[in-house]
Amino acid sequence: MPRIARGAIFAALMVSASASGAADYPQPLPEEPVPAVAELPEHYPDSWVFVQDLHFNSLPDGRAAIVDVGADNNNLRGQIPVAQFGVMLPSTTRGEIYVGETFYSRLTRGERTDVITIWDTKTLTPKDEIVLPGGKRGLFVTLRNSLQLTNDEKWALVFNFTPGASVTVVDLDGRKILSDIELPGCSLVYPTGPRGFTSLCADGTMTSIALDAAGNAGPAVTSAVFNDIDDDPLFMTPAMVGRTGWFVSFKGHVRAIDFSGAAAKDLGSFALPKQDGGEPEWRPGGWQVISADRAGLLYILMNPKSGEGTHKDGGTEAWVVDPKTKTLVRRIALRNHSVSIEATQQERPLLVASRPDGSLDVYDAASGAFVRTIVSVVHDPMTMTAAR
Amino acid sequence: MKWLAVPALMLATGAAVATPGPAGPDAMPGVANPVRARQHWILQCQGCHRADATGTPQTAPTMAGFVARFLQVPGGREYLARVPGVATAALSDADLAEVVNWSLARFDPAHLPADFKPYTAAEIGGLRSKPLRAEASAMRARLVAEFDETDVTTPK
Amino acid sequence: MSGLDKFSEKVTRNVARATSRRSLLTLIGGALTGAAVIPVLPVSRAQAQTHGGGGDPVAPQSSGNPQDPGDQTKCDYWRYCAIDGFLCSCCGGSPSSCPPGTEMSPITWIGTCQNPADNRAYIISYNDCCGKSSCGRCLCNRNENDRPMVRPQANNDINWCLGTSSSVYNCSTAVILGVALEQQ
Repeated sequence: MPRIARGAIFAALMVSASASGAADYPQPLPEEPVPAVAELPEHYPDSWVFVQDLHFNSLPDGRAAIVDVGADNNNLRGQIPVAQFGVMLPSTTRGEIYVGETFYSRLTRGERTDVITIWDTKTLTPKDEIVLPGGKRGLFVTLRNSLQLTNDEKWALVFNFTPGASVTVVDLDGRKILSDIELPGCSLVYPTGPRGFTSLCADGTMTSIALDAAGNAGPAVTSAVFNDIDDDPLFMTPAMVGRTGWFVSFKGHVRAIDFSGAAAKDLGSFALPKQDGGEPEWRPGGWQVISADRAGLLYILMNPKSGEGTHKDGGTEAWVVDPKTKTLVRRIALRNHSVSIEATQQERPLLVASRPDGSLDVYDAASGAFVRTIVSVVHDPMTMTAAR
Repeated sequence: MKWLAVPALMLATGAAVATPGPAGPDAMPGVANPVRARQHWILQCQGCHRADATGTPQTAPTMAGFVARFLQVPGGREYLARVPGVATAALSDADLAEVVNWSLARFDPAHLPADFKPYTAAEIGGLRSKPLRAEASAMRARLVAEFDETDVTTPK
Repeated sequence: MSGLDKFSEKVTRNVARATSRRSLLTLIGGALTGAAVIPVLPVSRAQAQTHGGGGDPVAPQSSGNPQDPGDQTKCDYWRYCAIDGFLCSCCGGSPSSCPPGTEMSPITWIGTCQNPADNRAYIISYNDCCGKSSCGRCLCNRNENDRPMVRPQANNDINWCLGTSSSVYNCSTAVILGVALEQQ
């Protein structure tokens, strides 16, 4: 192994260094300036992944780690706070990371402030913030679709839950609130069309709302029932391929929703091919259970011991599915039981599987070969978002 | 805490195998089995609306002493069945009609119109198939504005 | 709506369903539900820490009442069939009360659990205790009949510290609201 060889050389150098003296090195090491703080590139390489830490043992102190899963070392490149059931969302078009989070003036009590904090990708310092009104930002185990972008990433959409449901539309450029749209009975935000969003509703439908130029709710379109919430509900987090959201259900049905038009369109579903070896059966399991690479292949975290109530138990394999042919391309056996998966958007993608102990296992997505483990990246690695 | 003191335990009257007898039809119109209706209230509604159906603008709206007033204005009857918490509850049409009738009689008997005709399963089934979405709050505001402004029981 | 009728039928039949509310890392949880257990489940670091898998267990506590049997610091205590989060019994409270100085949420998830001693199904309210940071002891989670955020009233990922002066989550209780009707 190259790594072992390198280690041996390093050890040899250490030995020879300790045995030799200053004569071997006429020049001392240079003095180092203080203070010194690292910086990151403005646009992150596509081997980088944002790993969000719910930090359940100290919820007011959630955070996200920025991790280079493609490097042999120096993997953890930086961190940003994501407080109190917060949610983070990197911009793909400007050097900013948006964080929806919640603070109390005395940490656990006092005045509540909900805010979108805007972080600079290069310095990882806060550039600005936009205070969200009403103290109603939805607080739950991180789901990426509680904070999304629309209108060419100029506006943010924040999902609120009090338990009444509503969506706040935020102008990121103007740093101001545009509107607050009550949407009782529906959950989360899936950007739809040039300017608008869709929410999944409790009766198994979805409602799409187009926004006008001022950010106010325009026409709403509700779909037919497609989500069988009682018997076979969809996991809430889709894998996005362009504007198509690929959802998977508890029992392993893959469903495509087209979010490109003003109203989201159900494109139908297909069942994952049945596979032997389940006890009693294979089903998707975990938190973020589906991801997609640039080529549009889907990766689904699968649990062989599935039944009612196992949907968050995590999985032992990632199944690679080609939605065009509706076939199972490959089964990747994971080294460890994993909570969530995410594919990088590289030409040759890596598949990242997060473990309950906060470590990441990295696989070559094309071959399924194990590449590396990156230990102790966060506490509770619920969601991951690959750089794009 | 107040909600704990609510007479929630009336239902705990003995063995789970006991089949509760229906109340007199006059007591609660459209409620064949008040004990069952109450259990559906607890399991499907109370979590957000609280045991005594009091609410706050920040959480779920107040129903106690208020909810039957919707029946006094045009469109209110339809609103109560189409509001998402009702329309999308995980109950059959018949059970949903029963718990809506029960809630009206239990939490706001004073405003129940004398000629109130209970919701039927068929009526509820038709209305709930068109749940309110973004228009719900505007519709509610419009209906509430039509309530008698002089009525002291109207919460702000 | 046929879909609705179908699921409501099932819901009615399963009165004594075990559903949970807030959860978390949960994912990791899973491990406690008897037959559904995945042994390799990583299972929760937290689980291991609080239930003896990776260290000493919390000292057992019981009600002392044979009609209310079981160790109230363990996830398999009968009332916790739908709980999710840190058990208040391990945090200065009890199955039915919050730790000192916290505030009990008036808004919550409600389910039913079977009492093995008297064989009755009880309606249980999983009120969260709020206003201090995560207790950190006795993490417990089950997901039977848990449904995604799209049906919030059956979702245990939500922080139910709603309607309280602070929404900071500390731990969860399992309060008896009454006896459930027999399943129909």
